[in-house]
Amino acid sequence: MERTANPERARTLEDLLPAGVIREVGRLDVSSRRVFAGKLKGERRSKRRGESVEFADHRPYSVGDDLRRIDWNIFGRLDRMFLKMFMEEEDLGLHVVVDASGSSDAGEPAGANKFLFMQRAAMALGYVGLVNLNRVACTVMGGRAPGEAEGSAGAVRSARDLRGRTRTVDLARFLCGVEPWGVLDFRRAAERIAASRRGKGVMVVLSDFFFKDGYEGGLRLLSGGGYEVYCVQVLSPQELDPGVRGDVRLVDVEDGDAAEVTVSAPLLKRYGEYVRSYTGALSGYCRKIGAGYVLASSGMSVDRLLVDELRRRGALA
Amino acid sequence: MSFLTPQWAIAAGAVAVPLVVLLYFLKLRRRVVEVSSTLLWRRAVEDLRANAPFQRLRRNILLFLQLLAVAAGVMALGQPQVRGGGSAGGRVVILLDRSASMSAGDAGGGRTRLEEAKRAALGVIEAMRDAGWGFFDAGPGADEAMVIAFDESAEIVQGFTSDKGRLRASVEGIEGTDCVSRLGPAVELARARAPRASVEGEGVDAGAVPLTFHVVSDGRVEDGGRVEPGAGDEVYYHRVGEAGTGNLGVVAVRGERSLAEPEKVAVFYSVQSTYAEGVSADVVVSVDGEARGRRVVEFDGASGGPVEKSGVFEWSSRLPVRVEVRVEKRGGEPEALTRDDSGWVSVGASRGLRVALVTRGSYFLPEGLGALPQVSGPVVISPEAFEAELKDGRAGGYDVVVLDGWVPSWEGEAGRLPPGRYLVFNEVPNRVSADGGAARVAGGGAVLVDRGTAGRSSMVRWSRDHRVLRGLDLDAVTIFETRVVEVPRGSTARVLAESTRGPALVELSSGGTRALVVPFDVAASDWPVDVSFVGFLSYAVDYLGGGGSGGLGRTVRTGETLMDRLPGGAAEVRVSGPGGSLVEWGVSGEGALAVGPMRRAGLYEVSWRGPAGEGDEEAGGRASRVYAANVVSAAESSVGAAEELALSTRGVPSAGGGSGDGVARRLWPLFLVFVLVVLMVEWWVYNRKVHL
Repeated sequence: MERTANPERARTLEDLLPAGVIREVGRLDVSSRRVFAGKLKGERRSKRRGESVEFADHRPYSVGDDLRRIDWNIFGRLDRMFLKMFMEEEDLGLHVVVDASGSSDAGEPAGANKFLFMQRAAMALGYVGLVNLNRVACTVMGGRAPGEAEGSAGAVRSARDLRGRTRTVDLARFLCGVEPWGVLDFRRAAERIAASRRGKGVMVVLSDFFFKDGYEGGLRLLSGGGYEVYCVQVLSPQELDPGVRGDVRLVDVEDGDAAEVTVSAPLLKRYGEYVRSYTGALSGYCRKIGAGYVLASSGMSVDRLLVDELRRRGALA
Repeated sequence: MSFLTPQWAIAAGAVAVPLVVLLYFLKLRRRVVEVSSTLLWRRAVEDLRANAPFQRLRRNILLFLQLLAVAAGVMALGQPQVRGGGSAGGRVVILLDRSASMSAGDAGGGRTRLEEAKRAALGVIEAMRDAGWGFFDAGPGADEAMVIAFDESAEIVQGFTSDKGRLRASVEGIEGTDCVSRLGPAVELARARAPRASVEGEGVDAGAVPLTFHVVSDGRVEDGGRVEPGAGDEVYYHRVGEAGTGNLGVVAVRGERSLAEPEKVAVFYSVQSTYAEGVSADVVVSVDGEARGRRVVEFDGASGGPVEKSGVFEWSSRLPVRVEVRVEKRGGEPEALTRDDSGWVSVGASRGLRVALVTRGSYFLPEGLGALPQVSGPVVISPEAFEAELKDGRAGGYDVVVLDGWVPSWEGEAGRLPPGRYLVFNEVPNRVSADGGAARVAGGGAVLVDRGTAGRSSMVRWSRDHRVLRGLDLDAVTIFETRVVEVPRGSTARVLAESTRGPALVELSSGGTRALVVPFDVAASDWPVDVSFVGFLSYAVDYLGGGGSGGLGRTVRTGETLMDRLPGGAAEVRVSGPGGSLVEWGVSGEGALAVGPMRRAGLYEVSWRGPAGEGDEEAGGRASRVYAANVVSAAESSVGAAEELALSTRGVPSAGGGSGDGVARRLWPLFLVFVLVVLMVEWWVYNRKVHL
């Protein structure tokens, strides 16, 4: 909950991706609950069962249709061209979105800083995508470059079309080039991401989802366009179990909003209920729009997030 | 409870309480703590702001007593009184699933799920509270219940009443259908009929009263994840049927007649198995009642999910044919659900689609439509000429009308679509104003709100499973001048594609009208130069015109309304259904026919006295046409009962049979007594403390 007193900033690839994490996540690959046949034919493990589990419909060929979709078996039998409609078969991309608003600069000790955790998770995910020859993109919402006076509420910066292990360093350099700052206009940022992305694949959004204007509009935009979205809500150990007690004046690091409270045991109990209700509402909304949801503490290890949580939900295999 | 002199109580409370609190609590010094966000604290903080003084009060029993004395004095000044009677009981809504899967006979004792569901619903009715138990209210305190039967749509079979006899009779009278289940319409219908609460004495509307829903179903609802009960509503799920029940079903069937060789008829089918173990089955195709082909299909075990197999039969026939595709399980136990074992297709004589393009001048649309093989030369006419054709009935001859930047008037209302099939570009039909459209929306209309033009946008989301968009990629489409539209709450319009500025493709369907609306000007976008544009035109014309090449449009899903046009002059229209039932049916002056919704799967024959259309059959001075209605739903054919009813924000576990556990009981009088007891205990604690 409380802002990190002396935040530890990642400077190098080693800070973001320790050897131990590489060992744990190196055997993973990006996956999807939907059918994505894959970038290079034959490389992606097909999710099809039997010959027709994803069969949708037959449709007569018409001008403009992709010749590769023609069902040649039926052509051989009927001497007419029909398209056998399957689920989408597209190049599978991995798009990692990181929230760099001021609220992500929280968590004690310094190693449990939420932004650092998100950077490390983004790096590990990107690494999995890169070594498996997926098209990887990474977008940071909000924040500012180190040394910059101030950023913009709806700003996004992206590294796109990365492919192959050799681009790991580029991704690390990109992630190290941002530090958390200010308020984020999530909807505007999501609008920009949705408008600029191409193709299909898996999108992982790392954020604390503390948006006072709501997260629904932004997530709705991100969930469309052929991307299977996973929301990873990163909260610090202190946000899940606050250590603060007594009469305090709580000041929001993003917008300076102040609240005077007397923190007592009943209040902490109520706060705990609100945390559960907030995360539950986000989880429910994700289910409603067909997105996956993971709640992560910035105190946990990144490889646990990938190996235990995201793999269990089908984002990784 | 009401007060005789509330103004005295308010004035005294407004002065005395803040004064006492201020004296004690405005001297706090607080430590400043920077937090990531006050969002999570927001409500807690609000509570705390209200509660903080009481936290302090807890430490100062004397102050607490002073405030208590003040509160009691204030209440006394207000002269509170309780009125006898007038308090209504709980509102119970029984939602009974009557969809196709409820015909499965796995409810034990050879009974169907529907019979078991009725038994459970009767249990809920029996457990309802009768009048006269109330603590303070001597009058009508009984629970009232409403019974809604639902499948794809919802129907109130009994409005709110506390008469258990009527409720039981209404439940007994529910019959099963062959439709899929959707819970959303049923919940919305109940919410719409819920009585409104008002603030006593003020006449202020405080919204609908909370309802207690009892969903009696096998949990196989298509839209569970999108259903949101109202705030304060309670939901109980009474599961019927077994979770492990396997089933074979026809989940897709389609008939085609070749455009190039009209005598060739092809029928595509897809059959699904949900048996955990491997099964084999025969797929039998019958043409006009005679078995024409049989294939053996082997299914592996479906432990990881349903398994589908598909295939095609083809033969030659110039005559209209009625085809049944039936799956028959080989060996083992008989099927629990047989309603979905057959799919029907009616394939008429071949002809091209008649398409009219109503425009004042367009480059892309005539080119695009002219390239479609299923269209026999689009007729390009002006809006004025089309208005004239509408008036004299000639417009009924078109299968699909493409409107470019213009919408005709209908029944004196400008911009409203007449019955028919339309593809609309660059215009917003069935428009309502943002504030004044409530009445139209309440009437169940497919209406839109026009917000005018805006700048550039790009496509972000589209329904990949809709027949018009399946296989299309709209990623690359950029709209330079967007027409911003909005679907008002309650409108039946369905958004098929969204741009960054809102809906970009909307389907309107009501009565005899079906339309696909592209509100922006395609010439002000790069869509016409994208390959997906021609594909969209082709699929949209096919979808609206019903395929054209042999009567795809004569196949509907159960639950849908059959819409077609009969030749001008058709009279004495009769519709005979699968059970041999025969009804007289009205038809509008333009020949627009709307029958349904079709609740039973099978073949329907529509006959009339008058001229026959191209490809219609004629016998005994009557012309006729055959339509097919099919279940064809993979979800409905997966009959394993769901352990949990998944709603948008939570899952509701099964509450067991119909014992009625969970019927809401008002306990506030007991709570009031409890509060009094607590006050007495506090008083006792205070005295004890003083004595010590």
